[in-house]
Amino acid sequence: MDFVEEPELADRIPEISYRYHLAVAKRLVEMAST
Amino acid sequence: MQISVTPEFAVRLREELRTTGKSVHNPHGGRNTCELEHALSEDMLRTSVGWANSYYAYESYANRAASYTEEWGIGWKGAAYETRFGSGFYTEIALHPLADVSALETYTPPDPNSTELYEEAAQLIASYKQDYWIVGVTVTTIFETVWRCAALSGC
Repeated sequence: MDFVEEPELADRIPEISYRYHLAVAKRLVEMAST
Repeated sequence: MQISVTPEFAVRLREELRTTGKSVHNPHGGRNTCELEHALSEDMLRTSVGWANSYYAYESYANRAASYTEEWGIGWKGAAYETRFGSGFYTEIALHPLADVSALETYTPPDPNSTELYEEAAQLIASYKQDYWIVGVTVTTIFETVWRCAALSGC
């Protein structure tokens, strides 16, 4: 797979990882606050 | 003080410290029993959620089997090596779930809100918050996760 040749995928696939890690980070911060 | 070691070095430490030898040690913190951290009198405990935990997940995913597939659908296999200090091993990628672009249409990523992901963190907080500095970690391997899922060209 080449994101240069398939720029639509360069947005779509990293979004999956970004959303996952963002949700995890928020949840861990919430746990530290309780 | 906080120390992370590879699982293979954890085996040596267990022998030296005469711990049970039956506990999981993930240097990123995922599903770690923290037995070695206690034995070494460390001040900080890490609890980790995220893809980076998969690097040494053979203990938690596959009961120490040589290969395993984790929640992202990425397949891993153990790789042995020899040094003058003895034998060792690491884990490397064997299967990329999105190597075929068409797989994206049916791909289901792991749920970051799954209660199970946070059970270890909750247990650590409940058991040790009075005695340790507890740090929640999600190793921000955002690009690396993509790379491993998709088998990017040139990487």
